[in-house]
Amino acid sequence: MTDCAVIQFPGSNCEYETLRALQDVGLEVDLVPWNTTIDSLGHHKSYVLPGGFSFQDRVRAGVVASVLPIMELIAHEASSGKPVLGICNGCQMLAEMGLVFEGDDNDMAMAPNMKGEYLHGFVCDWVYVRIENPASSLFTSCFSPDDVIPIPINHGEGKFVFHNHERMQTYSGMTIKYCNEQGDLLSDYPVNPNGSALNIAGIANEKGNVLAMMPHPERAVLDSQVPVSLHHEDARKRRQGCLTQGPWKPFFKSLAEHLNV
Amino acid sequence: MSLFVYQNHIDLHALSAFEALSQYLGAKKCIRLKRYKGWDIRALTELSDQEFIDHVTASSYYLLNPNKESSKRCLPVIQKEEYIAVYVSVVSSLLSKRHPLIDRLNQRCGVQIENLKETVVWECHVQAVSYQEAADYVEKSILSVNGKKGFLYNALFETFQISASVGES
Repeated sequence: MTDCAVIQFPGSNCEYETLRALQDVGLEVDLVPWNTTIDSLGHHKSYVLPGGFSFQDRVRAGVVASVLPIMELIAHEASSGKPVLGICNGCQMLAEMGLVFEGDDNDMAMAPNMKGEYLHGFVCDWVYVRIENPASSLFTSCFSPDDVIPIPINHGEGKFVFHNHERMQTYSGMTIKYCNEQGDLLSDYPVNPNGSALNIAGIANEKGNVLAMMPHPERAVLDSQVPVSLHHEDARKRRQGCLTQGPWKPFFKSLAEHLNV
Repeated sequence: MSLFVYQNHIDLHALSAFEALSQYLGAKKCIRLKRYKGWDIRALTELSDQEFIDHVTASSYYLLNPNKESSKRCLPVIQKEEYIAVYVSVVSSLLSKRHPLIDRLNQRCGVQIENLKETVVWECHVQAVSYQEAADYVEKSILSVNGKKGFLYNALFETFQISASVGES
């Protein structure tokens, strides 16, 4: 059984760096096209839906990909407990599929970026995040709730909207939240770059095996990917030439450990 | 006054939406899908509606890019033997405040637009014997996926309205 399948959609553009990030932690990875036969899937231990602009974001980001036949299998595999990670456009697909809150009374959507009460358009920047309840997801068990971690974002429709906003305030699953350099969860731009509800940048299901996140961890696994201009310990170390890995390499290592690689 | 802008050439949004509906969601009775960007404009002007729209669209490309788009003033009732048209107007519930294009249009075109509302209008051609049957089919099979989530609209941040025609005829 292969460790991981990265699904390649028409319009994906992060599949190769995602593949590389997974291979760098020792995982055996297949790049699987969106229109593959269902028989050629199912023998993977985990699945990643990469970033990009599947179907050119037509109608709504991720919605056309979310109704493809391959997604029925992904949903089935997720319900059986296999790890499923959606990054950026993959996060939008998971939101459209309703996979994070499957069987729950809640639902979520990825709306266009907002700055206050106005549309804000596409954002491309490095931001900081903190992780709440990191131990409840297999992807983030390596992190501490006190960690302030830099990560790049690159999206136009990344504002998390929830059907049951009140319930999200006491959600016990893992959430990734936008914060400032000090770790404060400020709700205004630019700390919250898209107006996401409760500053949420990513969310895992209660079981912890499905994670939908808008930022790009695969773009922060190498020391050379960390901008020296950031006000962060990793950037300081890189300026001094002593940074050995990017801040999100442990994220992929967590998946590898979970899969016993 | 209303303006409905459409692509002169193939609209890939409508094409992908139609393919997804017919190939993956089984909405076989929907035989064609068109998409318009709708503008609902309220302005202080002594010009006629058509003169006002001609002036605004000739002075800026904000509402309409004539290099690749054309427009209609209304989307009329279409009831043919082969199909009946159902219009679905989708509005974002996030944009409750003054549209940011109002100030740009007023400045660039020298007009006094007081309110501007943006919609996406889907023209669904449905095989049905009555408008009501076609409208029910659109609501059940095209707007929802597996009976719970929206395909042409997302219930968490958009609303929709179904009608037999849109705009002033």
